[in-house]
Amino acid sequence: MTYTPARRAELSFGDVCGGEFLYDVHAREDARAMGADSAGASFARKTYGVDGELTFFLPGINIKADANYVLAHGVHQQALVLSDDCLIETALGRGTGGPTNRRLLFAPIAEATTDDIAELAGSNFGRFPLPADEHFDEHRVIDLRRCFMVDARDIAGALDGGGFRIASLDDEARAQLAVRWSAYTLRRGPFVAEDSLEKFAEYLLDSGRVTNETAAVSAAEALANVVAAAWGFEGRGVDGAGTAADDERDPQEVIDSLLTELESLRSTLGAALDAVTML
Amino acid sequence: MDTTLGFFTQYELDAVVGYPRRRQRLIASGLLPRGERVKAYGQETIVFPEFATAALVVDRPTPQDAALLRHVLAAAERLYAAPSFAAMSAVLRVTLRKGWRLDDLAGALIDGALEALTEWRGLVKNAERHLAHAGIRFRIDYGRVEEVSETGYRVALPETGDIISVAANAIRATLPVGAWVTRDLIELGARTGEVLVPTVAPGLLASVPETDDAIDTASWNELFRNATFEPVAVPTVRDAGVEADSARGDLLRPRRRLSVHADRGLYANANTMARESATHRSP
Repeated sequence: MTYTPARRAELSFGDVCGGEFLYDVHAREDARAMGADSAGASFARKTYGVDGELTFFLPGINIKADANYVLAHGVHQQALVLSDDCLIETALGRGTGGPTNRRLLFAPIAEATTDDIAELAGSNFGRFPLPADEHFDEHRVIDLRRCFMVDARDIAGALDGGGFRIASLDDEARAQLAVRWSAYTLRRGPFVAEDSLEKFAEYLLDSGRVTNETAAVSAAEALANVVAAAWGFEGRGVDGAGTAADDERDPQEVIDSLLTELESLRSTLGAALDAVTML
Repeated sequence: MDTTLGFFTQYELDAVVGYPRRRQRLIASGLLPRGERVKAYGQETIVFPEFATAALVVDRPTPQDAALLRHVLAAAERLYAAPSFAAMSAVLRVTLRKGWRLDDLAGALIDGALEALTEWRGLVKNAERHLAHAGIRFRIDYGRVEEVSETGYRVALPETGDIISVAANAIRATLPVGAWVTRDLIELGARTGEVLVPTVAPGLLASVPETDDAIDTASWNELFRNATFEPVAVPTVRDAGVEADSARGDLLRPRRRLSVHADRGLYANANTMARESATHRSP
């Protein structure tokens, strides 16, 4: 797994970003609508030591109907794009006249220790480890538990200004991130299947239904492989077919790809049937 | 103990922890005491007492660490509020120039605020004595880097004539041969560690009167009799704080006695979140 400095041509799922406005904003019980007001330059200089007129915000006071300021909590951090490439394209209005008021989803990136990376590799649904690589010498963790949204218009502005995109995850890392994201939000996919089937394998042994540990694990892995193959079929086969249609690629190329994926699915399904029948 | 300057600035601290942003995060997280800023003519120095390095032995702070670290933070605040520090700051404000280094800073203080500097160094030592009673202890040796290798430094200690070995990861930056450093052995409760901090050349301190040593050598030997000092990995800090990064309340996949893994090749690059097509239109 690696991530490389701004490798992809355009903002994509799995891009690492940094910007002044990237806070993991979230509401707590003290959330309040806020009104804006301003103070003169003299007051601002005397009271706060800043030059120029000062705009400030007051919870619950001077609320305007056309404003939507809210008091919230958040921490400033680099963040990773969690929206899919399809939504990103739509929200940013690529080729359709400019950014929309849609929002893109981000997850903050926290620093981590070597122990964190080892511990999180296969254990935590909500935290995805990014080990240090040849480009970035620090371990970090994508904190899916604290994801937040940002207006696409401001992202478009930051992209135009430069420096917003810092790095892109490689394909393998992005694929694993998608699996973890699905596990966290939908409780589906290969990561969840492995977890469920580990429990099942142990139960087979503990209940006395199966006495051979190897047989229990083999059956569980055969079942997990069906989920993995289905995940592959949906991603490479079905979704790939849609993308190929968008690109008006040769239909035979798509059919060949679908057949390959279906064969893989049939093969894993057959192996799982055999393994479960033997239990 | 008496040969040390008693403080360092943001530049020395950045060399130890790696870079400014990391220093700022350590301070924001309450691990490092904030430094006191002295500004003048668009220049700024941030002064930290030498015992600020205590926090660097903490990798993942626990509530017990936080209680100890509060002593360090409070001691630093008292030092910043001292009249002698105000006198030092006043001198620095009229002498700070672009491109200054710690040597320049110390020179300016010796020339313009020797009495205040001497008094403040005494307060630093006194604070270290109080910290020792709270379980936060330092042994600070002063020396010169004689040799640098991939694994560490050999540092000559002029006071004793000894040469000590210090692991390379006692500081994030790479120090050159000839650099003057303090080697800080730190005991923070049950945690121990070793940090190298760049400091000034010895000639500068020759004119500074000795301060009363707060703890004699015999006491130090007693304090450190059970300590085995391991090199410190500079702590990493999460911006979100301890609570947000705790696994409490998380859905975890526990470690079980049986391990089940699907064949990753079956779903490699099967990512419905990502598109490679440049012409793709969203559904």
